[in-house]
Amino acid sequence: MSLPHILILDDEERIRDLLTQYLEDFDEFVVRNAHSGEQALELLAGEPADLAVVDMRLPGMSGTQFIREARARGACRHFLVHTGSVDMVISSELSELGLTSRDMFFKPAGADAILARIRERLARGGA
Amino acid sequence: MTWSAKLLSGLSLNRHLAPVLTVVFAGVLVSTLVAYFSTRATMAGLALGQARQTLGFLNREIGTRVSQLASRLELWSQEELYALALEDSFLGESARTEAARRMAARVAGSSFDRVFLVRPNGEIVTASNPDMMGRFTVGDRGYFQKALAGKVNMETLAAGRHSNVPMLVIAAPVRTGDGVLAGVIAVAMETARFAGDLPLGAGSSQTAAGYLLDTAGRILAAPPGIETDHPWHDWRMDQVRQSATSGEAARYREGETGRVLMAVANAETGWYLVLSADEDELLRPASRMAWLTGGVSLATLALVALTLAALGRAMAVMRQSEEKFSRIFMHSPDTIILADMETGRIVDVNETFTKRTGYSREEVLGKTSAEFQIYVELKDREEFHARLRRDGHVEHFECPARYKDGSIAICALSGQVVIIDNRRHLMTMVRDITETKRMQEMMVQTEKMISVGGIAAGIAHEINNPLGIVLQASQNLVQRTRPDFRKNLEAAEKIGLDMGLLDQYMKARKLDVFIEDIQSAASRASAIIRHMLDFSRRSESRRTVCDIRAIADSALDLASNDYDLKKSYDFKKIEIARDYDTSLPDIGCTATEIEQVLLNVFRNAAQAMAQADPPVAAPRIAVRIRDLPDRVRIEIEDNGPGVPEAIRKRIFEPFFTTKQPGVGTGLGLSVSYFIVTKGHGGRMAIETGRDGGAVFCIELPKDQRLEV
Repeated sequence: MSLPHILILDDEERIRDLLTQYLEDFDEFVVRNAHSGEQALELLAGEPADLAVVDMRLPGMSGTQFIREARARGACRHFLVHTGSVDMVISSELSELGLTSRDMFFKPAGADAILARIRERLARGGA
Repeated sequence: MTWSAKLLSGLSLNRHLAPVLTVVFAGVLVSTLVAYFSTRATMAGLALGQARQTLGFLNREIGTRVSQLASRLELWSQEELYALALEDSFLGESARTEAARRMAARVAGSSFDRVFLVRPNGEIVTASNPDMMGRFTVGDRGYFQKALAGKVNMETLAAGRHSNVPMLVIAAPVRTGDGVLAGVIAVAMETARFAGDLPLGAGSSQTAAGYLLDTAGRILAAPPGIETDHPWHDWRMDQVRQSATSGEAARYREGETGRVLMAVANAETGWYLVLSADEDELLRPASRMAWLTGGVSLATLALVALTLAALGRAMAVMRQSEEKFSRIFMHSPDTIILADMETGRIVDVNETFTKRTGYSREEVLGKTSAEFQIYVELKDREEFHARLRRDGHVEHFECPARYKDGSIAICALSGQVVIIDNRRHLMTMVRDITETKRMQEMMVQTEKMISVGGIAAGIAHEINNPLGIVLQASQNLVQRTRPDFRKNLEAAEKIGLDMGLLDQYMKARKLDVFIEDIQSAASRASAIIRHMLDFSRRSESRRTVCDIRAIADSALDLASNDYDLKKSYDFKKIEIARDYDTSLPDIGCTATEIEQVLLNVFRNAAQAMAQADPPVAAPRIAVRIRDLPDRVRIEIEDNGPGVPEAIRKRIFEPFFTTKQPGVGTGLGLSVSYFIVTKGHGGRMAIETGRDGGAVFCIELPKDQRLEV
């Protein structure tokens, strides 16, 4: 059985690496990461992912744009948002893309909480 | 309202005024009537006098004319020709021809119509008009017989035998040279023609007219256009005779209109000269004049009445304002002190003064404010008085005041010099603005927080990222030192490290605690930022119809599961007493915000009880929700040690905290206050409970606009 693929998209290197390393330790996922939406789409073009953890404020295309694009291309099935934004309310755009408030994580958010939600989404989505 | 109604209401306004006005009214009414009637009488007298004059003139004119005619006829009668013409002889025959010619010449251009000679037997022998001869005799006529008796006389005939119209005839005896009566010479004229050039159509008025009447009331002459072929009625003749006798005017009615007449009897002819006119018309100037006089009097009365009424009203207003003043003085929510200006001694204070300062009236009356030391600084008193003497009034003079119990209040003084009983007094109004000041200061602090929140919003993203790294790194640290992870064990094995020993070492050296410290510090920093953001959050959050009970229950649920709270105190150990009114209306609010407010208060209560020394034996939080007419009141009472006065005043200030460092942000209650007052237009206050614990009161208005 192949492991689910997870993509971490964040322009802050340390966050990206720490989260990647945290998730890798569990031996449950194949974790890749990208620093921009453009790079992420390139990666996903080679091999699609099951779930992406997406920062909102990014150089180049925004997190929301990336989610829309990746979804349109069928490059990724599930998305979680991990943002340092002060706007604690889920935007209508993200709602339309199928995200709920439980998919929103505001920095500093515990990686354990993110992990729990990843498992939840993959269990449901994979079924 | 009409003018008179206004006047009446004005009059009825003051009962004392009514008798005065009645007397004045009666007086003016009498004088108005007197003025009216005397003016009318005077004017009527003038009009009648004028009529009398006219009549006198007419009378004289007629008399003169008749006398002149009579004397002329008398002269003619002495001419020999006429005596000769009366002879029954040949000579007489030719004399008659000559007489007729002469008489005809005399008629032409005179006021009379005919001249004729009559024999003693009544036969007309010759005349100015030949057609008179032989047709009738005049032997039966009074004038003829009197003339035969030797008298020059005149007679008014109702109808002449020749012309059949009213005639005036003057006759004189004709004698021969030796004095023997030969016959009579007479002139006759139509009365209408005789009076033709007399001014009978009196004046310019339409209805006034002059008449000549004979003794029987036959109309001898009248202005053109008036029927003359009927006699005046007897009853009217009575009036005529009465007027002619008395010289006064007589009144009578002609159909609907009242008329007045004035008559005079002409001595020469026996005629009545009558002037008659519509009474109204005759007296119209009199009436007009009288009305004017009366009107002026009435206007004067009205003016006097109005003045009196206005005066009465002004007095009533003054009395009312006096009453109002004393009511305001006694029941004003501000302290009012009345002091004599010269001596400075207090003459009166209101109820608010005694309630607020704690001094009784008896304690302060007759003393100066310096004597019982209500001023904290005496120089404030001096300055207040100096400014008052200089300007006559002082507005909003702020200074501290000391009440009887020693407490200090910030007061705003307003002073005014007033004259009471001819003495200058100083009226000082004192408003206790301690509370207002404090609230103002707090709102200033809150406003500061809003701007700080605005800045926080700008940098939050930048701070949250590093905080995220701190938290994430510490979590990774925990994870990668765990002895039960395959990857950790593999890496340790490669370098010969015993993960079990590492775990023991970390616990022994408290590395696990340090890591936890790092995590909680990061969480706290992020909480502060989130609270600061709460201040700046635009109130775009949606107001919805909320069940306040559900919100309270949800907040209690959150509190009992609160991770931060669990570390210092277990909320589950606290007894929660819910007391909700059974019929609470749904109110409009932002549920998450109110939930946050309640959670903050619950947290605060739990922490306060946890920190209490000695510890609270049976911690208890009572949550009461009450339905008030225009708002819903939520009371949260704990049985902790309560909040000291000094702290209570500052408890809603941002960053004010009494908790141990690291326990609170100092923003929880401040944000709550902000959400309730600014966000929801409600009130939030802290009171002291019956057991000495703290009671937080939150009131939310019911009329919030809803977005459904």
